[in-house]
Amino acid sequence: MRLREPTTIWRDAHDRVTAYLRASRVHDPELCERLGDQIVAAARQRYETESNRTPGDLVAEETRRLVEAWTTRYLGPATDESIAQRFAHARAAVLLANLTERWPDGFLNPAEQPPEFGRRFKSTYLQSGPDLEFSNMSPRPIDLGPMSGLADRTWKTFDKWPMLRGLATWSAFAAALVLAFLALRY
Amino acid sequence: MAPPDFNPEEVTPRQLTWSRVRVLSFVVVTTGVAGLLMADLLWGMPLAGWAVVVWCLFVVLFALIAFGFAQAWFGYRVRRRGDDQTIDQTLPVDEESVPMASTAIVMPIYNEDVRRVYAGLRATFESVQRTGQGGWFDFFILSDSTDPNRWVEEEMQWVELSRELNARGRLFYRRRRVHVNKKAGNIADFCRRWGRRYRYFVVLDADSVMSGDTLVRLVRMMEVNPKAGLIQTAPQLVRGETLFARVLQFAARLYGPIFREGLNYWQQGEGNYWGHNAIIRTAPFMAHCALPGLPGREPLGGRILSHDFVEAALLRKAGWAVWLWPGATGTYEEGPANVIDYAKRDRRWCQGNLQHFWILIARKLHGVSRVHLTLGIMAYSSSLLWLLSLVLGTLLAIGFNFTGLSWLPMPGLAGAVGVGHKLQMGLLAGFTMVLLFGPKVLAVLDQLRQPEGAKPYGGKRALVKSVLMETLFSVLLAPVLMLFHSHFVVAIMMGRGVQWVTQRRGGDEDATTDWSEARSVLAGHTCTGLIWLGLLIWLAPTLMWWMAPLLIGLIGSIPFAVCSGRIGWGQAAFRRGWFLIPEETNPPSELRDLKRLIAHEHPAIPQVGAGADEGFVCVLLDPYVNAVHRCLLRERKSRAPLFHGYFARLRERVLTEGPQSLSAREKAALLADATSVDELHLAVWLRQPAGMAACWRQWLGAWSPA
Repeated sequence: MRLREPTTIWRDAHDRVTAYLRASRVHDPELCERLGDQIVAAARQRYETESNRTPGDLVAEETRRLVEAWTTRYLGPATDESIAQRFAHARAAVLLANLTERWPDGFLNPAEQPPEFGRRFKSTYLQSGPDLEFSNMSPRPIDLGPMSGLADRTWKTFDKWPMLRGLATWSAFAAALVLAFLALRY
Repeated sequence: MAPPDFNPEEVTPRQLTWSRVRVLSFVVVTTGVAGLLMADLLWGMPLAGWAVVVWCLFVVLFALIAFGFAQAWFGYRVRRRGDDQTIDQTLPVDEESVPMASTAIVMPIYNEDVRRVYAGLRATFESVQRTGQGGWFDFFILSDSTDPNRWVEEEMQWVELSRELNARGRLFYRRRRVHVNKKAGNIADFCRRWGRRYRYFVVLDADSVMSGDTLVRLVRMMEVNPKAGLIQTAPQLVRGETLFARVLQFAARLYGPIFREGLNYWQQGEGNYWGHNAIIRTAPFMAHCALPGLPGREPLGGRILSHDFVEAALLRKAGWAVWLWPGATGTYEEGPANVIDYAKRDRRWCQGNLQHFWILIARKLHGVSRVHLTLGIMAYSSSLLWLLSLVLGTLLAIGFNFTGLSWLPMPGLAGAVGVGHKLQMGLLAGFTMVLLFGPKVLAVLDQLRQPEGAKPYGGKRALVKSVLMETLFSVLLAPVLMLFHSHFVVAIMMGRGVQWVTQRRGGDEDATTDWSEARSVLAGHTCTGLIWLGLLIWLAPTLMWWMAPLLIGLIGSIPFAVCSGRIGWGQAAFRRGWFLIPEETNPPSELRDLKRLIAHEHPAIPQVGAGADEGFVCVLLDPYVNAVHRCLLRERKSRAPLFHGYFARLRERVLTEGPQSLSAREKAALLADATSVDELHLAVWLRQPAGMAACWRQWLGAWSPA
């Protein structure tokens, strides 16, 4: 894919990525601009060798990498998480720890933050449930007696032969009529 | 530790049997006398071929009424004497000395009103914290929601609530990816994942609220009764806004105590489970209550719908006691808001209870468990029997008019003691009325005997007025329900099952019934009533007056459903002091909190004007909603190339054509796919606008952080 107006395209990408950073509560406009420049520059550089990718895709990847790099400063390198998971967990932790309210310029800021910032970020991890302790709870058959086996077989036969089912239904109806007739007579 | 007032271990089988024999004797004697009088009348008539059928129906139905009265009577007596043997009396006087144990409070939900669910859970959570025993309880929201918007809202409300209550590590959210076996499967899934961590768990319904004191006492009752497998509380209906819901909650509140006490009188540790607001011992529940399928297929076979009765029976079979705590306070739920929602709920319950025919014949069940199952089946089947009995009565009357035969040509039993036939019939009718309406009188007397008297119900005058109006209301409602239930029983027997739907409750703002809905659902009732009336006017006019309550109920069912389902009518009744309940005249703190929370809750997700797709759009748009949702998804380790292609196509459609181009199922599939949630989020923000549907630009413009 070749771009006809590369400068305009990358300028637009820059606008979009800074809008996204603002939406992610990076409140300092200067920091937003700087991070936007950094992301777009990295994406542009990659585009030279990966021209089959769209600028949007490359910018998205670089944004993830930026957040991942920032997160690694506080949490250390990811061991069992993908970059995408890290990206989500970092944002969720920022929200849960109220970091952007207490330190409006802290999120994604390469400058050193107070130790409390790091502690709160580290301790806040979205936990949807306590540690799993798997146990077995498998259904045990209830002994329903011989009737159930007979009924089950009848059901299956009816399913197999719908005509038989219709015949049985109408026979029951006819029997009810006969009973009503007999009750009227005697 | 001071000794308790009651120790279930000291109740001998002989004592237990004796209380059951008393109840049974009452039923047998009253039914016997009534059956004899009825037989005497029927066999004195010509056309006696029908008599056997009519008599059999009469005896079965009369026995059910007599059983209801017996329960109320023994309950009244026990409360009056104060010699009740209830599970709460097993607690020692210094109950604080009883140790606590780890307990999970689980709330299974399915596409419910999220605001209401979390307000109820919060009220319960805060109440538990006030007891100072909060450390023993963990709370779980177990979602089976399929609606993408509800799902997203549930997640964000959970995050919000955890933050506000500082409840991280105490309040958990889990949504099942595959909703196997509905509510029973949801609970079983919880047990498999975390059951071993908790000695007990308390099941709440989506509209349940429980006080902390009640929960702490339940745990302590389990601790002092090591053989108790389950303790059921009787949740009080509250927050009814419509007239229907208010009448329902008034009746349940006033008449409930004597019935529950009577129930406890004969069942003791062989009680039943009603599905929620109950504490369960986790280990035996996991060992014995995983439910297998039933023979055949739905609606009568297949997956067990009304799992609660069966679970109680299985626990009992395994030797664990199942108790009812009849006097429990601080346990609440909401009822249906109108006749139609009531009927919808009954249809589900009806199908579930009819399935119990299978369990009824299961081997080695306790006899009392079989009684519970039978009563459950009869709760709906009896309507069909009533209908049959009324139809046969009408046919008999028409038959007499046609043939010109006199009603009672032969002298009867009553004649021998100098009582005429008319008096005999009157006695029988009067006897039935006493058994039908007697419990209401007993309940009023019981209430007047309480230290607070009628004050919680607005005073004596208001109480009596409310009871009279409730009686009229129930007379009009009974034939409507009779026809509904009969229809359900027949439909289910014919193989037509029900879908799992979200219930609208008494406090819902959109729970009123409009005319078109009432017409479409109740047209059959009205037509039946009109045809019945026409036949009686034409062929048996004398019977018409006897049948008037039934006919008025059926013919007027549409206006009745609409008017009783209106919030305005409910509020008018409240202003006049009708159908007041103690929870309204002196609301407990949990219900006050609930009301405040519902009034002040704000949306947990930012609103961008996406209408029906608000939740779905927010997951893709809002960086934090997206982050929370993504954190809760499990990443698939590997996936077949077929799925890659499927999700890639869906993603492309969302971006280029907008979410409205996808079905609800496709949206839910996308939201459950971690890769799609990641990629779509960044694509919405970073992709060139030219390749995107116009709606995304519009929503990006409207978006601002919550």
